[in-house]
Amino acid sequence: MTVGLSRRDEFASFVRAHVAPAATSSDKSGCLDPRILSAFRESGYLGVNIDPNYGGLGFDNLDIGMLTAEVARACSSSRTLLTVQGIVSAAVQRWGNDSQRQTYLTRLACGEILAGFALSESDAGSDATAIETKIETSGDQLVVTGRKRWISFGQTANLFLVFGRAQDGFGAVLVPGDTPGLHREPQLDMVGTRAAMMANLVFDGCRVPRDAMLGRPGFGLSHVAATALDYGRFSVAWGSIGIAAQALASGVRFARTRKHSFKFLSDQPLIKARIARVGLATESAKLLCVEAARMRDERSPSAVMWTMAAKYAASKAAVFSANESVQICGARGLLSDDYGQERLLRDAKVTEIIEGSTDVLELALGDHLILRDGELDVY
Amino acid sequence: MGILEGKQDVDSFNITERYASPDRVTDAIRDYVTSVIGRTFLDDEDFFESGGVTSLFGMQIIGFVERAFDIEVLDDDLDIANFRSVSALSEFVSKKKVQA
Repeated sequence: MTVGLSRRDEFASFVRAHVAPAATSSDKSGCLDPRILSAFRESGYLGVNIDPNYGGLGFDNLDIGMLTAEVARACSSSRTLLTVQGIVSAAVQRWGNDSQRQTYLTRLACGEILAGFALSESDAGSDATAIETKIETSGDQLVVTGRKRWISFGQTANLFLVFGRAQDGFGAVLVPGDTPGLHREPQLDMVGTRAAMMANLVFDGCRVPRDAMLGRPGFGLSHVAATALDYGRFSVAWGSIGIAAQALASGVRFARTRKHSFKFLSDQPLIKARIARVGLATESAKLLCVEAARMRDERSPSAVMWTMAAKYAASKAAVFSANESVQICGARGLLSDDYGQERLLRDAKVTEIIEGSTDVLELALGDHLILRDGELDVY
Repeated sequence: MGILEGKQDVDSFNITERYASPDRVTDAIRDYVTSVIGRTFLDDEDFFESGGVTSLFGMQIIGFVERAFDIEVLDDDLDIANFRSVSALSEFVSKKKVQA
C-alpha cells in the first residue's frame, strides 16, 4: 500500500545516508556507530513523539511508524534507539508534571539525554509485578535499590526511568546515569539487536530528589509503565514491518538473479508461493499498524488493543519473512555480510520477545475477542 | 468499527447526543466498563477489588473518559479514589468538566 510516500522518501534517504552504511559494522562490533547517533541527534528524529513546544518534531503516528520501519530496514539496533528514547519521552510527556516536562523533554528531543527504560529484572519479565527493586523514602529523597536486566542502551544512557516497589505501590523514578551507586554491567553476546548496547544495572542505594517520581506512587506500573510500553509496542510493530519488508525485498532480488535448472528462482512455483505468503503476511500486518496509527492519532481508547494486535502480527511477519528469505537465498542467506539476511533473522526473533511477547499478546487478544463474541465486523 | 471492537467503540456512545446531561455521564461510564470487562458493575462496586480487571484497564478507562468527555487526566489526578468505581469516575469527570 502507498501511504504518505513523500515523507517516506525523506526517511529512506536519511537511512541510506546515515544508518545503512554502518549497520553491519555496528552489529559485528556490538556498538552503535557514533556517526549514527550523531545523525539522529542532528535530524531531530530522537524527538519524533515530543510536542514541538518542547523542541520535538511532534510527528503524527503514521509518520513515526514509517520512520521506524525505514530505520529498521537497515538496522534494528538503531530502531531500538528510537524505541527506547520514545518510550521514556512518552512517559514523561504523559505523566510528568510541568517541572519534569520542562527539565527533560527538550533535552530528550535533541538527544542531549539518551534514555534507558529500566523495568525488567532477572525474575520479572512478562510479569512486571514481580519486580523487587525498592524505592524508599528517606527525608526529601528517594533511595533506589535493586538490579535491572536487559536494559537497551544501558551502557550509554544518561537518564533511566526505573520502576520499583514504593511504600504506596509501584513507582517510577527518573535516575540520572551519573548517580552515585549506579553500576552498569554490559550485556554482551545477544543474538539480535547486538548494537543496542544492552546492560544490566545495579542500583546500590541510589539517591534522587523526591520530585524524581514520575506520576503518583501506586501508578508506576498501571499507568506510567503502561503508557511507555504501549508506545514501545507501536514502535516495535513498525520496526517489525521494516524487517519483514526488507527481508522480502532481499529474497525477491536474489530470486530474480539466481538460476536453478536454467530457470530463475523467481520462475519456480515453490519460490513464488513462498514470496506470496510472505508478502501477504507483511502487508496484512502493515494494515494493522496503519490502523493502530490512525486510532492513536484519534486518541481512541481502543488504540491499546489495536497496537497489541499490530505488534503481534508484525513481529510474527518479521520472523516469517526473515526465515523464508534465508531459505530462498540458501547458503548465501546464512552468510554474515552486507546482504544482511542472517542479521534480519536474528533481529526479527527479538521482536517476538520484547515489548510484550507473542505469548502474552495472544492471551490479552484472546480475552478481548472472547468478550466481543469473536465477531468479525463487516465494512 | 474495527475487527477487535465488536459492537461498541467510543464513537458509538455518541456522548454529546446521548449523554449530554451530567446524569447520563454515569450511564456512559457504566456502559463502557461493561463493554471492556464483560459484566455489569454496581455503581459503587470496586473494580480492582473485584479482580475482574486486566492490567490494561487503567489506560483504557482513562483513554475513554478523556475522549468521551473531552477532559485531560493529569498526573495530579492519579488517585485511585478517582478510578475505583463507576460512581467515582462519574464524580471525577463531573469535577474535571467544571474545572475546564
